[in-house]
Amino acid sequence: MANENMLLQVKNLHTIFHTEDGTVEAIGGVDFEVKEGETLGIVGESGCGKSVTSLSVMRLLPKGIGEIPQGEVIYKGKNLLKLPEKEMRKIRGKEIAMIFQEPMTALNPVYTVGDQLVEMVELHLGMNKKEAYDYAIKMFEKVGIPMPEKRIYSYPHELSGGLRQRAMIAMMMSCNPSLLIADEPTTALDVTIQAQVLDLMRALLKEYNSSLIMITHDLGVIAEMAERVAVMYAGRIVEYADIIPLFKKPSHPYTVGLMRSIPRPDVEVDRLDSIKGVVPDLFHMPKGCRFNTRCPYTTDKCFEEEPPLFEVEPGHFSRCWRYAEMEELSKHWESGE
Amino acid sequence: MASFIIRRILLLPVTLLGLTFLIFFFTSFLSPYQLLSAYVQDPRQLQGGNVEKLIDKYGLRENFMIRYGKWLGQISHGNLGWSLSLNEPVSVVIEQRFPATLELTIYAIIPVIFVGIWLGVVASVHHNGVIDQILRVFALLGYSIPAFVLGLLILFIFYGVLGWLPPGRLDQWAQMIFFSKNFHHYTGLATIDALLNGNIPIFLDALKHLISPILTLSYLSWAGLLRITRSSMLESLGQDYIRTARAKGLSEKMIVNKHARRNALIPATTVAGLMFIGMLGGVIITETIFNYPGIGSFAAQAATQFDYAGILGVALVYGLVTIIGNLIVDISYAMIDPRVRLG
Repeated sequence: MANENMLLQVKNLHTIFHTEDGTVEAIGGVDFEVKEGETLGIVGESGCGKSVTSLSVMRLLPKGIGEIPQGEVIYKGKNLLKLPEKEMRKIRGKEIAMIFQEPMTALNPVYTVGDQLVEMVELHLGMNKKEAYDYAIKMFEKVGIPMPEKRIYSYPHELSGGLRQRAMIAMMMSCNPSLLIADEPTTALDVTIQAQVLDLMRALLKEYNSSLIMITHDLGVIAEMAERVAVMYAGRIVEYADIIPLFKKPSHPYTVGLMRSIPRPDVEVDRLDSIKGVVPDLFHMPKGCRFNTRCPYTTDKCFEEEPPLFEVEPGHFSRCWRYAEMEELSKHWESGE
Repeated sequence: MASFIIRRILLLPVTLLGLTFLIFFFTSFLSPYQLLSAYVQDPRQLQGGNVEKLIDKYGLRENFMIRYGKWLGQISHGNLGWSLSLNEPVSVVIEQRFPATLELTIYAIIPVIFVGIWLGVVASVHHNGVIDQILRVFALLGYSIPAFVLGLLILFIFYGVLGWLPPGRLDQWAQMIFFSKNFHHYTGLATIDALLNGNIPIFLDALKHLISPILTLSYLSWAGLLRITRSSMLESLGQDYIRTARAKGLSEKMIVNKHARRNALIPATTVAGLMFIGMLGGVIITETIFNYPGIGSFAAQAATQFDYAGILGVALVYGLVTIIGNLIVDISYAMIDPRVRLG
């Protein structure tokens, strides 16, 4: 527990949303840790709660709608959920920064990208306008934006998608945060730009010795970036392991399904495997294991009782009753078609 | 930015020409005798057998394009004809009455823009709170009460019952001073000229006469701008860039006043511009109710008394104001939203 280089510990995090149709639980008891300089990947399909998790950590849930009734987010020994809003604002951007999926909408269209970076360093690093602009040019140069002294005066709509995301990264790294949360940072970019942006992020994280929480639905991106991975499904972490054990020995049927649905150049198949069905909606969660509506390996127990997180091997956890048989079971897959 | 403004201003003469063409087109349905009133400067010109001579002089029996060309020549020299309803040249009427209307609308629109937008922002920040609910009722009333009802109510209460706010533009004594030789007319706006002449009593008198028509004229706009600002603020507060701003650790004040408001101003500006133009139309009712000697009450008189020259003159003034109003909206639009400047 009292690990020296532990940066962030999320314990038993619950997030609920008050909607017009009633209250739903978006996240039900999520635990994970991020060590200094480490990259944690959170994988899952749309609506599994991965973005909500990151917003909960930052306490950026929509006011009056999202609420965290239970849980702890310990950052450098402080519980962020107990912090007054004013203290929390000093953490946001300076200690924990966040990069979003769509840089076009995540940047304010009516201010220059330079101005949006400058207001942040003025706030957190106490620079004056002149210093802040010089600093902004340096940051833009660092993230590989050509002609930074001109580009800081550009508006978001005047930049390409890749440059916008670079500007976003420059902005969010400008205060040298200890933890960066990247929510699908490359999803809106095409593949070549995606690779460049990932390389850039890796280089910056190394230079600043920052940790990263990489949220994505793309196992390829995870394989490239992460050291440890949490697979999320319907508001739960279903598998939590280091990157190599996870890919070598996936121990939850959902992870197995995800891996089987990636096209592989070394295996020839007629048709790619897929996971049948869709994510259950939050109002109608199945009894028992939340994956039971889509799992090909269900037993009676799966419909009665929700499995806890089992330790498959040291540091490798799976939320499946049949985790021990998974290696054998995963040879057969009942596809969605 | 500068090139955007220049481009817009260069378009102005073209729009103006289109406007005059349209107005003249409508008059072309009138007989030469009816049209003549739009040309003569003084009824005495019509004495004797001059009518036919004048019709020939102004080419009123020629084909449309020649008539149009000659008419353009006339209006470009400021000759807008003789107003039957007021027995004065139309150009003189407009020169006297336009500043009065301008005074009314400017005083009506400026508080609407600043306070209306501010109230809209407040309502959105306190979304569904007590302040929001109060403002909602206030806005609903604004939408529901027509200007002629509100105007009569205000007139009845504040003049009829309380006797505080009289109709008209100035009291008798103030008018005598205002139109005397010693009183300099710098702008034509009674309040400002009074201040420039150092005459505080006249300033206060003019203000007293302005309050009721301003309230009548602007109440609907208050409601409209408040609601538009509120809804566009709510929309803008839900955008991704607001989440980014929060993630950057900016204060709520900064988020609302910098990041959300500027984006919310884009639709609000359009509406405010349209409101200003609409107000100039709305003054017809308001000025008539309060017997305020502006363009609006002149328009009402001219229209009911078949004063063709008067109607033409008013149409020209309204058209001109609309064009200039739109130009100002376009320019402020480009100032607020950088994406517009390219187009």
